[in-house]
Amino acid sequence: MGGVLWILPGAVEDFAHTEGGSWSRRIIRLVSSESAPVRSATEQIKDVEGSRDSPGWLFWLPLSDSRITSPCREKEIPAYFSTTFGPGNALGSITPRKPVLSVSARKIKDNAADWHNLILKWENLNDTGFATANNIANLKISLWSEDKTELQSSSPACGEKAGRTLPEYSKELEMLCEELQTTFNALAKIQTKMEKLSSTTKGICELENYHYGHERQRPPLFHTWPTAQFYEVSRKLSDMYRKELLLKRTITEELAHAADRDLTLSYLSMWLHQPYVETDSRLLLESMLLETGHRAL
Amino acid sequence: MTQDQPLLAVQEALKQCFPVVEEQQGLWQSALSDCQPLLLSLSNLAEQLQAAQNLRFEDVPPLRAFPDLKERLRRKQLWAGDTVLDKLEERLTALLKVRDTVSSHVERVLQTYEQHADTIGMDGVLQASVVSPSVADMLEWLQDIERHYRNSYLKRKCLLSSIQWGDLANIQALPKAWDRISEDEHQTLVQAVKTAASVLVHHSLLDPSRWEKSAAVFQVGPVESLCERPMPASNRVTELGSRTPAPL
Repeated sequence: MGGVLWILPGAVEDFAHTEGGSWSRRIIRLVSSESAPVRSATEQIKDVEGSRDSPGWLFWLPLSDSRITSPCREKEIPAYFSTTFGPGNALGSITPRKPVLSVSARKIKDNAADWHNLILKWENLNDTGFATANNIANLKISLWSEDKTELQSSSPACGEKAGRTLPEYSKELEMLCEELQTTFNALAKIQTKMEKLSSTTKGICELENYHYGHERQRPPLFHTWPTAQFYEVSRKLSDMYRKELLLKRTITEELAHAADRDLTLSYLSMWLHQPYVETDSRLLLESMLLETGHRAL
Repeated sequence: MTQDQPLLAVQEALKQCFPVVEEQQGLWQSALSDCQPLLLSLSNLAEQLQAAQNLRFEDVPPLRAFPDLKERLRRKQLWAGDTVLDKLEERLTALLKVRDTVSSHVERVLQTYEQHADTIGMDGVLQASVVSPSVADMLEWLQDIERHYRNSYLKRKCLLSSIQWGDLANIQALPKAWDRISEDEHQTLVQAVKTAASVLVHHSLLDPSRWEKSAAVFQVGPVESLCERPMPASNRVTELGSRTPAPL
């Protein structure tokens, strides 16, 4: 009984609700998410390795604390759980390996839901950030026009006036920049979560590789996708958002310092259109949601 | 009585046609109002494209870390532009549908008239009463309305067909060009309003509020002020209270 259960309170409730607690005897070690360090997939696999001989062991990957409550995240245990672990299970045709893959399937399904929610949140933050960036750009443009007017009617008095108004202006600009920085920080957090999703998917792939070894026959977890394809999609998506975040960092840092209108407008356009988030990202996400059953066929 | 029947058939066809025109005008206006923000959006995109074109990305140190940025940005901007163009195309299809619906109804009225033209005779066609304009006038107005939709659709279609991403200045000027079409149409519209409002008297003779409504449909001022040829006083709704409307 050397199996490891990494589970969140929410997930425990799910289990308990469906299984009436009958699964609990299979839990070998419960590690709370607060005390558990984030461990690599390889480490997790090592834990599982020690337990591979125990029949009916349960492997559960650690889930992020602050994941978004998703409308499309699984709220009920799928049928295969009750048939595998539930009391009075009459189906004896499931191979011992099946529970591992079923749990992997559930994890991948949850990951797909998380991708959906994270991208949605990213888009909302992108809109918020754009509004702020727009205000910064407008403020700068209005300042330039003010400067021009003052230059035209320059007098010693004007210089004094500019000296007085500049701090006021800077304060407003600084406030907006801080606002943009806050939005950027929130985007960065989301991107970190995206990376984690990608790495857990990779872990699932490695787990599958460990179990199947060189076997060619690997039943798909859902409809048609091999498990590696989920990782491929996750990796593509997280790469896009990683690059996009780098660009957004540059915009956040440079927008208020842009010296001409074309550059300011281009920064705004970059923030809005997200050039590194490719147009097929939506297709990738939707196909993943379709494959995992979040979207009806 | 038998002699009047062909005339009545034409008047009945006219009576059925005008409510359709009124309804279609609502759809037309709605489609037009949807276009305005889309055109502004296109114009704004053209401005963004222009700004990015003017900028030498390699001369901006913070952007040197993104060698493919200019191309990627342009691609996304054009993709956004295509999305807006698709929406405009949908709206243009809605305008085309209005044009075709109005045309088919007007055509039906004219067919009915042509069937009975010989029987009605020239006198019958030109005969107007206190409560009903002559059939000839009403047919002419209907044709004016149909022409208005045809011309307006063609001008707008032509304007949108002229969009080329290579000509950003033209795209930036789109909202103004679109407004200019509406302004040019104003005179035609006045004629159309007069037509519709006059004929609507027939199917809502005793309901003055209907008058105002039909004028509002075309989004212009009070009907009377728009009439190039003021209607005879006896034709005005306020003076018709005690009259029995002519059967239509």
